[in-house]
Amino acid sequence: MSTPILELRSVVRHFDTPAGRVRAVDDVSLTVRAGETLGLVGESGCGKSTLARLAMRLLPPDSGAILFEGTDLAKAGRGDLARYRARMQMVFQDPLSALNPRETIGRILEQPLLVHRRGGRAERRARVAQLLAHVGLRGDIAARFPHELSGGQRQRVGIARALALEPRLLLCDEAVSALDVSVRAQVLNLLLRLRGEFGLAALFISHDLAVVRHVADRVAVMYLGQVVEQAPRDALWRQPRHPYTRALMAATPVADPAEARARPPLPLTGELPSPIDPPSGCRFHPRCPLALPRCREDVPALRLAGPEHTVACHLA
Amino acid sequence: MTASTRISAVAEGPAPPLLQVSGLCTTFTTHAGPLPVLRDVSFTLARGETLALVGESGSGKSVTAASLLRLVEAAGGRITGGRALFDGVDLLALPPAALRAIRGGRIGMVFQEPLSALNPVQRIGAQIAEAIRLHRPLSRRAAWARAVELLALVQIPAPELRARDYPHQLSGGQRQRAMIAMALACEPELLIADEPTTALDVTTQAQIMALLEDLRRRLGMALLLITHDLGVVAGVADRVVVLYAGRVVEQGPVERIFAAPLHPYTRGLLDAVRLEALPPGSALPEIPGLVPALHDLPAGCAFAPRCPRADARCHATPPPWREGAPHQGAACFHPLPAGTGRHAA
Amino acid sequence: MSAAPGLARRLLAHRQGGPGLLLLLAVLLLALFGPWLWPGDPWEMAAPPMLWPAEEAANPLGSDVMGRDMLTGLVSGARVSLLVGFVSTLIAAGLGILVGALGGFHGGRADAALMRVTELFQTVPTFVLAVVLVAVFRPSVATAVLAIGLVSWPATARLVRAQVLALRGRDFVLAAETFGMGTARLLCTQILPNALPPVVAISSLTIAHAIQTEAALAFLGLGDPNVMSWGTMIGSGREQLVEAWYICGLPGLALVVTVLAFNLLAEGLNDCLNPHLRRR
Repeated sequence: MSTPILELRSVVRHFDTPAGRVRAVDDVSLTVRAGETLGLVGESGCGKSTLARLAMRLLPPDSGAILFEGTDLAKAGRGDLARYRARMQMVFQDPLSALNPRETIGRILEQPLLVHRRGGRAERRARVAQLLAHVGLRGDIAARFPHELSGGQRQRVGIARALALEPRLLLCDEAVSALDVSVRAQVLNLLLRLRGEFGLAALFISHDLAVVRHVADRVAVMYLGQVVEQAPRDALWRQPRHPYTRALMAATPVADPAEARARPPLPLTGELPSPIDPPSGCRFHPRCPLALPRCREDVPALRLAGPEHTVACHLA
Repeated sequence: MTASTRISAVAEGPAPPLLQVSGLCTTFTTHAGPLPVLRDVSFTLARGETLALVGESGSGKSVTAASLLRLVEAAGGRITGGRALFDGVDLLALPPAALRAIRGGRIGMVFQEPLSALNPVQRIGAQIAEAIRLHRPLSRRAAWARAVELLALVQIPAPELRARDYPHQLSGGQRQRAMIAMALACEPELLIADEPTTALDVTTQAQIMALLEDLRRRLGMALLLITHDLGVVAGVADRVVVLYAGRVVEQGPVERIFAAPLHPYTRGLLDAVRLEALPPGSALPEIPGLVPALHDLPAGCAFAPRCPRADARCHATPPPWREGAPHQGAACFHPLPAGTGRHAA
Repeated sequence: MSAAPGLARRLLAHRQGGPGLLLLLAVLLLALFGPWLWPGDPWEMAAPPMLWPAEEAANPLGSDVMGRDMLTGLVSGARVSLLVGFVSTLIAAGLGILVGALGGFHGGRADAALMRVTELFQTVPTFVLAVVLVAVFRPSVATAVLAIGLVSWPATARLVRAQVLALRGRDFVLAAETFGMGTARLLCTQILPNALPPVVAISSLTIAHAIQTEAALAFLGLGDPNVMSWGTMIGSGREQLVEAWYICGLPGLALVVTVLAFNLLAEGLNDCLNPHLRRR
């Protein structure tokens, strides 16, 4: 249970732009254990998508280690990388842009098998049929093109492709955010079912707290390139420590008119600052309702606030 | 002139609604033939009220808004029937000049993507001032002052400075605030907001919704809120209209819609956003199947192929509108009995 | 997409593509079946000089100042023009795709270096460069083809680079990378099939330009001395322009029609291969 399958250690990634240096991911450490789902929550610009690309080694980190089953992918050679990539697959946010518009669904699902030289022609075809069945699609869809499918069907194809090489870890980057609500439930159910069926670990990245709460075992909250709080799901909702976590929870809409109207106004001022030249000290201090003078100067370190519960706040 | 004085001037018995849409039909012409995007959409909006138009993609919610201001015509759509009485005047039959006076005048509009709705090469203040001068005989200087005032009204800090900014210099939330300021330029009686927070982050979304609600109350305007997110609706709407495949399937007061929906589709949408009521990791209640393609709609109720309550009649004939409770109705042969709005927690 | 017949149908229905395709087909048929219908050596002085068209049944389009049959010459010219156009464009497209794809895919220093080379070629007037190349080596069809190919690739390279750059960051390319696809395969199976449609359209223009360049070279006497091309015919007839305009006029007309055909076709291809315009 406790062996990490994916471990990020003090990963840093900056981008130099004409406007200045974007500190997209700044000293982030995370672990995903075998069979576990880690939820990663944050708003746009917090660095969660960069983190996903770092974890998949689509981008090299500036510093830090990305350990997959104990091997540092940041230093791995081409061959090792290819082998590990088969064991860690990704589901993208926009299912249409994640599928090659000029390939049939069957061809798209066959590609990973071709690259890894798995099976002959007939075996590959059987595997494609099996994958389509896994994600609840009819076999005749294999002959169609991505633009002929609905959004939900496309995302199912994206999931089927991620499963093709029998990965141990699934990285879902806003995998249900682009879907209509009625379809979102179908795709979430599919992910939940497959996770149980194949014992998959998952890094589930989303801006939607309600969805993360439903699927994750543990949750990490990111703000401006840093993890500000990390805790097991129930502990986090029972006692959120970081003011930003609390603000996120308070901002998530509730589907109950009486409760929604009884809510106090959002304890949060201003908007997400730019990740270029982030605020000094605690990066959240300009928006924090509780900020003290020291928050402006001292960078709060992540410290233990409970079993497996870490938080980076001077006041928590 | 405020909304309340206007009401007292006309009020005799119950006040007539500010907006009364009846039998609105809009069709888009495509290669595959005519596409009926709206089929007989009817609803009313009282002065000062917030009405939420809820639906998924393809439901026709945005086309409804665009039809009211006849903006669909530029996009290849045609209004083929119905009326939209705004303070007694049919918007759909208005000559172009009169319609232009109402657009941006008595009716303001806020779009989903403020970056594409704002002119990228013109300063924010100048855009707002221009919008004002289209409708009001103000000098440049006075219009600029009014623009700054409006930016302050939508709680943009340092409005004199921000008025000199270009759209790309503002954050997403500030851009949306600027869009709202522009829509408010002529103190509209009705503000149409089409997915105003969909492109924004969760915390910004909460701030913008709070702002819209606050402005509506202070300026006494009516708000037509178009959204796919029932969660957003709960906090702000007075009444809710649910659209599915171009038809109104249910409408009613917000408390009723959330506590005792009549239409199985409304119920399905509610279940989909009430994740917190379920044990974590459990299977979610789902609406099976897909939203039907508009060029291939079923003969009967459009929701029948996905509906757990559907029978032969639902597949064969479109269900008529029925009042299921006071002020609440649905187009369904088998409405849900009262008290089934929440699934067991 | 596997719909080549579908593409032809869409092209035929297109306002510019349809006429372009039909004109091109006419020139193509002339080049293919002409030598069979009107056999003979275009250099042979087979008729009295300066016969006007329709004056003599044996020489339906007349003869030039040396008594060479115009029709045979036009047929030969069509073959040369199309050959030079297609082959040099093939060379240009190949070079352009290679340079553009490598630059766009790898970015950074390799890209910068390749783009500087491209700019270098673009700053030198292409026709002057072609003249120099042909003059340095001996004038022949092969050198003309090579020279024209060598000066025509920069536009294709820039286009391909822009396409590859845009596609490089697309999710489906990243997805293929996450399951371990290597660079060459990524380029060939994921990126290029999506990048090529506009290249096809621009290549049609490149062909038109190549045909013009070849005619100009031949006009200046830098054509293959053994091959009758439209440029050669125009060049040899220019002194009789006043008394026998048709000697320049007919090959000139053929040139205009062919170039127009490729230009119209490019217009049509541009629209028909554009998925955004096609969907509805």
